[in-house]
Amino acid sequence: MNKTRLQQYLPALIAVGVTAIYFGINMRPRSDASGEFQYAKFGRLAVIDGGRLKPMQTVAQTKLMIVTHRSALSEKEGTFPAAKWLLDCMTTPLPGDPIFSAMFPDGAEAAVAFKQEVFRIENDQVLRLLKLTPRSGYRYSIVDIAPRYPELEQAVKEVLGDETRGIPAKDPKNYKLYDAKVAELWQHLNLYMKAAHHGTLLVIPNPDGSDQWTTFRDAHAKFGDAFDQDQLPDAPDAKAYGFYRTLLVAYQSKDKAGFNRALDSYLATSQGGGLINPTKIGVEIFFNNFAPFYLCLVVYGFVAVIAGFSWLAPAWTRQIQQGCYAAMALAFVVHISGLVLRMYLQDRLFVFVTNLYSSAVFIGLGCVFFCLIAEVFYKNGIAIVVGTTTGFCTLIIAHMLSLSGDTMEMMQAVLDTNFWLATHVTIITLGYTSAFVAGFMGIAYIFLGLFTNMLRKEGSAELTRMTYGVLCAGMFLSFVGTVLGGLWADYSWGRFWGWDPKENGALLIVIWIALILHARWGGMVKQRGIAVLSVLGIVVTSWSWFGTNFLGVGLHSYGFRQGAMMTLILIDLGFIAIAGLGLIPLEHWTSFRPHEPTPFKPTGGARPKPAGV
Amino acid sequence: MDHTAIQPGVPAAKVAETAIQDGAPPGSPLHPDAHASPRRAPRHPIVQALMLLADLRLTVVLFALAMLIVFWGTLAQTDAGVWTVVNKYFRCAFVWVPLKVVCFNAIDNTVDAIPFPGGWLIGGVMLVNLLAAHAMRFKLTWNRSGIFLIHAGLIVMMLGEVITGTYQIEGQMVIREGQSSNTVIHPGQTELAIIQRDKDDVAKDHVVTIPARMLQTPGATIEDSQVPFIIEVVEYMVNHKLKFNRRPGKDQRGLAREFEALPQPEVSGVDPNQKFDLPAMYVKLSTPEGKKLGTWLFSSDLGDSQWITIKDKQYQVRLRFKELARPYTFHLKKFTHDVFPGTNTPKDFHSYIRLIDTKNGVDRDDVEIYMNAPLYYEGETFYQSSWTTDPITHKANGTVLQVVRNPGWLMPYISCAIVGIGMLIHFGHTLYRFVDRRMVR
Repeated sequence: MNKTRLQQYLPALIAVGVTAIYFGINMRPRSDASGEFQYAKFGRLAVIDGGRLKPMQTVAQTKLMIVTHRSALSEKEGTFPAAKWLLDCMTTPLPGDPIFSAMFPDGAEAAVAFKQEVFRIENDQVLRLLKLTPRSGYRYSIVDIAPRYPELEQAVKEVLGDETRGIPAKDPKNYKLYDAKVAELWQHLNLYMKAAHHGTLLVIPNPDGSDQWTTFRDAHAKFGDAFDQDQLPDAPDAKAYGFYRTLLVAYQSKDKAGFNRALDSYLATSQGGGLINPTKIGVEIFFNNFAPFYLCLVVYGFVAVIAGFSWLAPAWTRQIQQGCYAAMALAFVVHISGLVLRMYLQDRLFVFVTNLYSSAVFIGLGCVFFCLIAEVFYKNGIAIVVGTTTGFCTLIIAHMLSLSGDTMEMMQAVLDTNFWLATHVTIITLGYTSAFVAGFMGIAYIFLGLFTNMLRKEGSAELTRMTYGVLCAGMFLSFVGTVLGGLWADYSWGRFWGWDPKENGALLIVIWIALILHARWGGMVKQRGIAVLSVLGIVVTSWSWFGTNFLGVGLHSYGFRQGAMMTLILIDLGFIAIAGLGLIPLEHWTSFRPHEPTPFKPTGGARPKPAGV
Repeated sequence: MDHTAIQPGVPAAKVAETAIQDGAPPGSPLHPDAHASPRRAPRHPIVQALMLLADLRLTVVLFALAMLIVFWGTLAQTDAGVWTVVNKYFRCAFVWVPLKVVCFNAIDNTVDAIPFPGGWLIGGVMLVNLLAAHAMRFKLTWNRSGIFLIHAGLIVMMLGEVITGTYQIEGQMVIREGQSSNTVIHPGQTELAIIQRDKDDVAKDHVVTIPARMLQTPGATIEDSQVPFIIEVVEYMVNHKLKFNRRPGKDQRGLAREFEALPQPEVSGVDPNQKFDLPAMYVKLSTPEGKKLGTWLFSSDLGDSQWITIKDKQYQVRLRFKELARPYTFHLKKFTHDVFPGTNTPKDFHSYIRLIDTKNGVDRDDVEIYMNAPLYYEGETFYQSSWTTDPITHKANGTVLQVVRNPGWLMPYISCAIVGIGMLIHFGHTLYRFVDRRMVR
């Protein structure tokens, strides 16, 4: 008895074990090798960037991510934390910058930041402009770009405009791919320039304790002479300036001991008064290192594949699926914990969604959640595949969106209300989620019906009931979410319904689901029809979620992304094609082909009945 | 596909069609034939007509039409203002949809168009369809009561939108810091005002206003005994910008000698900066006796009036937004505008106001209006909308409040309460049956 029990639970135990180890390894704190530069400690410094107080590590990592699409710095000597790259940029002065060339003479000579191959250039037109040959990884250094810098500058001016010569800037809406890529490279080079210029990052706290901090450059203008004469006043901002100067000078002259000493003594003081919460800084660093959503993406991907192949081994199908279910559930716990950590870091309880990025993360969470529940009712493994696939896809989207900067940016004044963010935005996003889940169940229906025998007997009706349940939930959630949005709008700027593109998008989802439900109640569509319409629902929902943002619209246009419209159209065409597959006459579907005994259970004679397809 | 596998006489598709026994879904009582018995005598023509109107297939078609019009009405906002689109696509019976919009903005043809039912027509037929369906199949059960409530709530919501569309009035109140105002301007309604000032008493000023819709066709002339001159419209611009006029024409007078107005496209509904249109117009004026007074430019951008003298009488002429005075005054004590440090992202904007209403004996010194915290007063709501900036220092120096009067504001609240209860009953019932069935297994 015990043996069979063990056998029964073994796959689940193994799956949980492997997944837990995977998460556990990534949870370990990152520490620095002793005697080396303490990069991790440098990452603990508090700065204000993009309006938010955050650890230096977040700044370094997000900026390096924008430039190179990697969260760590790869060099010939090995892989280093992003903080090293930021330090190198800070201590490699811009050519012709008198202040910092004098302050960092060794840095100016070594010019490490110029030699780092971090700038991604993949576009062949831009490569041709710079006379560069494509290389594996497509990452180039400033030294590589320098010989053709004047040509690049010229190209940039044609895109971004040049006031002195009266060239107007191009409207981003009319950018060609080349324009966008030139502008992008320029933006990336600017990240180095800004760091070396020390004129944007707010690192020096305000002595009055407010959030009006200043930059290292401004502080240098104020305290530079006093520092040289060793007469720094005893004020927090003067001390911070002295610290940063000592630190950076030590770094550029490769004085590891001096660097680490300065860090230790400064971090021991309360840098910015009561504004800084060291626990929060620590949590954010943990969050960045752990990267929970990325790990979930990996787990969902693996589970989707394994669960997808589980039917190939009929004897083990159930056990494999149980293992998959367990791993999926564990990833779900990590996924939701990641969102809770985000809420803590942003100080917004129950606000799951603050921007396009977090909406993708939350939709992934919702998809997995719906499917975990559906699998309890229908133990057929389909919900596992659907849930992990949708989770995987949405987290991929989130990952793409995260490449453009800090994912916890501050919110416009009008959106800055936790009550409505927690209610309207959460519920409407759950509405999107249901529509996506229903759509993917529709896809499952079409593929399983076309190519397998799994929809024979009860299978077809069961999958449809699952889809129907999710559609009903979607109807409820998107309607309530839309209405709550209306009430927010009425409360905040005087109109319940403004025919704003985003509102219209939400309305489209409501009408579409209503259309499916009414068509079913009227007997116009049956099982196959619901599947096809649900797949088209993905197209409608993706328009509301993403498409409306491309119009550059109103108060909801928080997520305009260059060139993404084309991608969206292509993806939608793919879904329409899948829906088209669903229209293939039923006699060509493997599951509904008459007169063919099922391989699982040869019943001999009893023709499988495609009930209500 | 192996054709021989199909049994003769029973095509597979046929099998699929007949086997609907599983599809007796929850809510199916709304099916048009749900209660029809096959062996009944021919129905009365009125019943037959009602059956037709109550058909669920009509509902589905209406939903599809509604989706198309909503989608097109969204795309159209890339080229036109949101209220232009709302009136053209949604608050009307028919709309000519330009081919550009029909083809998802992929082509640039804005001249040709296809006719399509507008929002009010689709909504109206939906209402008829819904009422007919309930009239035909009225039956009180738990499940039906949910559906009934949902639909009743939706009717309230649609009526609310009709009331809002018909009666809602929106305007703006602009107050500089340290100053007071009692006037609400309506940027959607432009008028040409001709004012004959009274020497002693402002209240005795003689004001004639001509609404912009009478001035929009080039060549249109306004001849009225109340207007001291004849107006001939040369050009009306929905939106414009001014530039210096380097070579003024011979017959140009007043502002037209200094500035030239360049037509601008209507402010797009998708403009994130939420600007509003600034109309302008060129007109030729002449006295009733036929004496030419030259070509004049009136611009709503510059607040100043131009003076026109006829028979020793001076008239002040101005193209302005409609203004309506309120019987109370707002005094802007202070306006603050904060951004997140190191960014341009607005963090908070806040108007500190003293409200003085002598008629009702109100004098409140502590009124604060800011984002997500409007003021409700005398049936109107005042929202923090924007701010004015000093042209030289670029610092915020005044507030812009959105003023809304909407007699239908309560309808959506009532509606969603009804629909909410209905949905809870209906989907709760569905869920209950679903779980119940699972448990039995």
